[in-house]
Amino acid sequence: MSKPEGQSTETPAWRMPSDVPFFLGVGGMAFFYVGLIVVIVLSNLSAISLADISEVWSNPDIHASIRLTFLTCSVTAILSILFAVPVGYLLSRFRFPGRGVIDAILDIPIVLPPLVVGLSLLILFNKVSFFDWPTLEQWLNEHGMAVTFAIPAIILAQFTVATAFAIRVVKNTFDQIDHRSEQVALTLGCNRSSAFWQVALPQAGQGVVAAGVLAWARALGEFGPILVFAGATRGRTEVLATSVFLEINIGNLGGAATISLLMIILALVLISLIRYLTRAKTSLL
Amino acid sequence: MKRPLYIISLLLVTLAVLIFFLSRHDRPVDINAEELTVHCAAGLQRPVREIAKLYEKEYGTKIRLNFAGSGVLESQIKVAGGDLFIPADDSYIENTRKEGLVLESIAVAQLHAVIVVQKRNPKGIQSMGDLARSGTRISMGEPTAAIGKYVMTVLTQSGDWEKIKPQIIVTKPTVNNVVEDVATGSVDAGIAWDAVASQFEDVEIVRVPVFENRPCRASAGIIKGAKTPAALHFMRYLSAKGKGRDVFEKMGFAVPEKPDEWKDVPELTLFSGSMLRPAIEDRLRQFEKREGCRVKTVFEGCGTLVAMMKGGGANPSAYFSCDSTFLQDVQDKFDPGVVITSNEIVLLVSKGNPKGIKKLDDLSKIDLKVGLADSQKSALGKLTMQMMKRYGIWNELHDSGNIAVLVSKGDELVNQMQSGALDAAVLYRSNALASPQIMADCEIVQLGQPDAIAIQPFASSKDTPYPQMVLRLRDFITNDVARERYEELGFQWKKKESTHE
Repeated sequence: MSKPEGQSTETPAWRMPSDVPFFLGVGGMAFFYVGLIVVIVLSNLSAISLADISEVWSNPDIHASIRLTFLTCSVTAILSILFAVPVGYLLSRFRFPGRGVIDAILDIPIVLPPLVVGLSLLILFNKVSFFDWPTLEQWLNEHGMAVTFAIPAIILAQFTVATAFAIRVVKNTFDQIDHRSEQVALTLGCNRSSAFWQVALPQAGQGVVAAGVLAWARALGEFGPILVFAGATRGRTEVLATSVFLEINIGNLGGAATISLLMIILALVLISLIRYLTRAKTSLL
Repeated sequence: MKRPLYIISLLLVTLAVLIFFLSRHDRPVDINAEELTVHCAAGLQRPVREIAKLYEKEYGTKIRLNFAGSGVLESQIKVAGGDLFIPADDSYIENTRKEGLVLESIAVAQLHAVIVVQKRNPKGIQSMGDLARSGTRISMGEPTAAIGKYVMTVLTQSGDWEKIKPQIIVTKPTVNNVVEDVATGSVDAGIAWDAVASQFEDVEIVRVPVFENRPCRASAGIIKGAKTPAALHFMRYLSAKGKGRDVFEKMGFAVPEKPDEWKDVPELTLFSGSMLRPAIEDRLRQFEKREGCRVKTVFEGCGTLVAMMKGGGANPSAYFSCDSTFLQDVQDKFDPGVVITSNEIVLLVSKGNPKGIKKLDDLSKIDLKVGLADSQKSALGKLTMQMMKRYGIWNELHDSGNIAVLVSKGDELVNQMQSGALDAAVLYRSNALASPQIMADCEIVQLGQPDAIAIQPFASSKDTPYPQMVLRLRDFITNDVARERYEELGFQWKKKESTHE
């Protein structure tokens, strides 16, 4: 990094005198972006007073909201993994007619505006019916269940979006694993199933965990579809993202910022914890 | 093959545990009390006794029944209290409600007064005139019983009272005793409720127009200080389809229209303009607690709500709209609605009004950043646009390039004003008054235009399974106790004196 000594100008082939500009460039970009994030968090902090914290801390609705957020995000993350692993594997390993179409369809939840996801789910459950059959929601209600404006709606809304992200991660993971080892396993008498379970999946451990973490984080930030499809009933279908919305709604910026901070901490702690726990043990997979 | 199975079962077990905790997320609604005291008119004794028995069997709550004439009961609850009051005539409910003794009520049966005569009508009594014949022996309910009070009132008005009065040889404390007198042959005729008389074998009923046209409504009312939600739970049970209502019907009582379905813990869905949230949210929670029900809420801009109902097929039990025009868009789903409040459109500017904005015209004159609500998404936006078009300033403002943002709800404008991103915003007074913090940073400029106003009606769904409960919800969030909060938030009160039909 230091300036080369001696007669650098006299060397016949001109060469870059230093690595400094390179590191300055790379470091500068990194500094700018990381700085941006830090500044955002700090300005969020600046809106918070001690009174806000104690108010949020003693609010039973927020407790319920934290609990519900944790539970729904975890359910969503597990469901996402259960779906993302087979789908990601399928897309990564096999070529079949219609694969491109499926691949494109899987991008829809990623590009669709969140509010539209919610409205579409609402239509699916409450409007779509064939012949004289009841709609899905009516049928569920007749059997003592409810999805719309209830907790299952939160999970379904989160799941719809989060799984699409998880599939991308899983597929990329399998793409990077050489599939020759599976083929070797096949020639050695494995069938497809055991080749997947015993050869492919153990190598994809890190990626699967990463997919789950991403799904969890996506679910945490999910808000638009939940508002439309699950409502925003205080203490009942209120997750942290909804809490922020509800607080902003009544001009309580401090409260909203406190809850946001809580979300940041929650996400950081959980993600680091999972990363830490799985770093040593991914060989277990 | 062991490891994958192990991992998958671990995931599934975790999932099951999480779902178990989720299923317990909703606070359990504790409905049952050990014991309820019910003061019931004697004429309703048979059905109410049977309903109480069914209820005790189903829920294990002991129902202590006290039967007497309605007037006697009225004085008893004044002294001794209780949980439920079921007089044979609504007028008792109305009186006690005025005194603050009775709160919610629900109609359980309709009663018609009839002339009761002995089997095969030996005296040939067919009309009021026949009763007035001298020598007819009549048994009459005392004025402390609903039947006695009712007959005296109706017949005094019709002019028959003076004529039959001489023939009354005995008055009895309850309607049951009157019919007994006829059944045992101690009198020739009596006046009683049809459903009560038809329970006796040895009497016949003669219907006369003067009573037929004036049915009485028997209602159950919640006594002040009653154990809630247990008392309301039993009140709902008394009148619900498939429960109390069927018992009343089976025993020959006419039953009221539009009953609620029975559900242990009913769920209502309320769609409400987001501007109303600060005014009603606490009250909704109190209602849930009092009734032992759940109210699911969706607070959004009214354009979004209408889209959810029209396009999304959402079917809320009630819609508390930001402006009546949005209710019109979905009127086919709702009753006409009751206007509760109005909300004035104002200008919000930074504290001290540094840009000197005094009226709408000023918005397009200088270089300003103005925030408006989107006319597609919200009532506020729609009304703002209409108002500006009417004053011919819409195009001018539009061309000035001063419109910095179009949001979907007024409260978003408040946040942008607070963060200093805007110089002025057009929004509801209630948006600005939603929190004291806002008024520390901003101030309101009144437009003083009479048409700059939104009107908020509350409408119940036509096909909710709980029409009575929705009405109680409406009353609860718009009664005089609730009113204060609306006014604090800058809403103007428009609800007419509440009428209990």
